[in-house]
Amino acid sequence: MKTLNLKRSKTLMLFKILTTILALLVVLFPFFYLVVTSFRPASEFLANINILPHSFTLDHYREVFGQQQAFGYLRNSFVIATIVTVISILFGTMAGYALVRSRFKQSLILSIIFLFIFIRFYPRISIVVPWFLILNNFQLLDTIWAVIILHLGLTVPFVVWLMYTFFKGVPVDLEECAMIDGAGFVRRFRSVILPLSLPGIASASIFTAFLSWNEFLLASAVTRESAKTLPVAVAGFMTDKGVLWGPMMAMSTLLVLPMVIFALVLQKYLVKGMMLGAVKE
Amino acid sequence: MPLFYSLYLSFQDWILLTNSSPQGFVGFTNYQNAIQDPGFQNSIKFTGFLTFFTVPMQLLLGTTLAFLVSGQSRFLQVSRALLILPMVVAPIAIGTLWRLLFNDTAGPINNIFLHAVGLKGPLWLGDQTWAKYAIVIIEIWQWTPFVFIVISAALTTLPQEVLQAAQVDGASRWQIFKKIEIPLLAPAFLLVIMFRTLESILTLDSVLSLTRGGPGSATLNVTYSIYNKGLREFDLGSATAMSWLFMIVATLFILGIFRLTMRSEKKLG
Repeated sequence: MKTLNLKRSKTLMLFKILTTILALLVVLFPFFYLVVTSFRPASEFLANINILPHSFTLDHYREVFGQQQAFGYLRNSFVIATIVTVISILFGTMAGYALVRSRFKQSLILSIIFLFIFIRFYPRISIVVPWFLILNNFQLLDTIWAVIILHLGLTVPFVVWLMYTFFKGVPVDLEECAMIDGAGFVRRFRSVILPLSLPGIASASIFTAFLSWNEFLLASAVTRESAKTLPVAVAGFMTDKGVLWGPMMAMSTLLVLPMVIFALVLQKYLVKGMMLGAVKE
Repeated sequence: MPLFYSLYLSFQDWILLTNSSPQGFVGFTNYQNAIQDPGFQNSIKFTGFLTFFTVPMQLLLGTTLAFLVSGQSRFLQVSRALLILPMVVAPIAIGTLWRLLFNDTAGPINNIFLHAVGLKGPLWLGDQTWAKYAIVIIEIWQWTPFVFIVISAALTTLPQEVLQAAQVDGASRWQIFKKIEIPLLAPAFLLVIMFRTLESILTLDSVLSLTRGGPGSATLNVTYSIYNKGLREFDLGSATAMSWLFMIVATLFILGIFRLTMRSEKKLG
């Protein structure tokens, strides 16, 4: 009996490992293919069906950094993501804290939270047209500020909601102790609340940065050339005449790789942020 | 603010290419046109199709993986980190990449993988039916990790004593799974379903970069048809009317999510 069990758990273990490896292959293969393909010579694109090209070339990178101003797009994406993250965290943290500790009626707080969840999930496409017209009036089209404003509209409510959920878990007692010890409001927020909420803030910032870096729809609607972000530039390689595979794959690699590295390094916080957004712990 | 502006626009006749300002109040004409537009109707059908096929698959695969890859060994920990990668990269890049993978003359899916098992792959993106499944496939590929993460995390919060007690009482693995783990995971499942359904209705990037709604308009979903109406034809009245119709449906879902969140909060509090 015992040996039978042992045998069964061994087969189970083997099965577990094999399926995991299979899943890993399915997940990782496209990434591998992307990177390899960005080095594939143009002549081999639709001719050579092997996964690995016969020879490697840097032509596509030369092209995207030369004619395509990849540096400019990278800079736009980076600047936009950074500013959006800083502002969202600043406002989101304070607003989230205010909501948790405020003495508003419960129903009012609930409606505010609902509004924020609503903004996180309602169809973004519905605001594209009005925003386009508004920004046009203010002559902000095709500036990074246009993209920043639109992204903030998405991320601030999200961060408020996330931080609200997070602050709910921070015990009031600690703060009361500090109050008894004579710490003022600002002092309390800075030396009691902020250190405790650092993990939450970290998750929220990572999440915001991801959202802004990857966002395509809004960015594509309000940029033409000078404020283009990387996702918009990648989509630009699909013209009505055909797809420029080589440069597109090189640009996609530039778009994807930083996030992959970022995700692997900061995995702990990323998962936590997703959990806060999705389920309570 | 933009929302109210869009509500106002949805009752106006305004095509930006021909006029620089709204051409007057037209009542519900834009709404009527939208509902009667066969293209819009088809896009609703395709959106439904997409959700119907992707969400259950994501749920099934994500949950299975969460159970399989749970554990403390180094290998499993690294696997967990790698398995979430699809969801952190830009959908727009995923779409373009899979476009190459699906390519019928040189893409590895037809020419290597299906070839290896002796199958002749379809024309994927050039075929009205297969293009739809192509989108289903990349949606599953990209978002199964979301289900995986949430369920994995929920698994770690299950009370160990209960599971051990059941084991001592002689419950089989399958019984534990069915009678204890699944019911305890129910709130997480509900949330995941709501989230995924909503996001799948809103999909745009992957459709745009994989098929651009084609061939013909086979893979045009609601978001994309509004996008075309508003930002290509600049028919602002119709576009905003469509988005308001769309918004009403989405709001119902959001209300659902909200009530679920609040309920689980009450349970904890």
